[in-house]
Amino acid sequence: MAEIKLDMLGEVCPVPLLTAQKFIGEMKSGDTLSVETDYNRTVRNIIKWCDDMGYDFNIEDKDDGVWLVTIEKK
Amino acid sequence: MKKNRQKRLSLGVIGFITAFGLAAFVADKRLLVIWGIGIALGFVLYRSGICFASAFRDVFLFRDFSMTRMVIILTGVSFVGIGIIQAIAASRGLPVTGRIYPVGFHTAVGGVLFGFGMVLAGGCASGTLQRIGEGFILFLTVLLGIAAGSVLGVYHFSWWVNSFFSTDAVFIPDFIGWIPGLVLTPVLLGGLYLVTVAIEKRKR
Repeated sequence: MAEIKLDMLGEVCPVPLLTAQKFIGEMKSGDTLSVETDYNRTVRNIIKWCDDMGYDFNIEDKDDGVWLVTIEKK
Repeated sequence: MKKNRQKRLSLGVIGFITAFGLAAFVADKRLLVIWGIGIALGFVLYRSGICFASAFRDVFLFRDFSMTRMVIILTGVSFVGIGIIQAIAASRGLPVTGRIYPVGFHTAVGGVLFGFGMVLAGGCASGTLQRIGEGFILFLTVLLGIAAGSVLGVYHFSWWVNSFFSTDAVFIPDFIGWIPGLVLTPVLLGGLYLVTVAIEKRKR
């Protein structure tokens, strides 16, 4: 099971979600993708996308205003 | 940012806003109302996370219409508010208030320029202000861009209006009457809303 980490600190919409979509397309079922972001809108975008696609996700508060979103491809 | 520093900064901002409100009250009592509306709007903008850039961009990038529907609802709400104000003004024979401007080639050019700028910068005018309030220093640069662009726009605006096709100011009730105008707007907005729902359903 592969793990991919994306450093999206300082990036604004739509870059983080587009990058995540690009990477998840090349991943296998069971692989995880973590996105580190300091843009709250990105967290909301990713949650909605995961709901639409049926992916499991977990959100971790890394610091004040920094989130780590981990997505598992099904 | 450390919590203590954040607390100090927020106290500073609250102090500045209060001082600004007091100064406005001293200058003109009515300014206090506008000050209050401004704070309320800023709060709603921040909590709702409304983003015009997303409303227009995500339709093409992600086939996501959720923010588009939010802007349609927002337009509907402001239609009710401004409609009441305009109808009262018109019924009393007063000039109708609102941003009623000429349409022309410059409208299309301005729309394309603003659209590209908004998507590349990651925020429209209100979204940029809201994100500066949230603490994204990056958007101070975008605000500078908006200010520079607006100044440039004002500087050569008359050239665009005089060199290309442009109509007189368009106020729909003047053309089709008040009642049809009041019906047409919700019908168009409702139609657009249903179109976004239909497209999203077909996607799934």
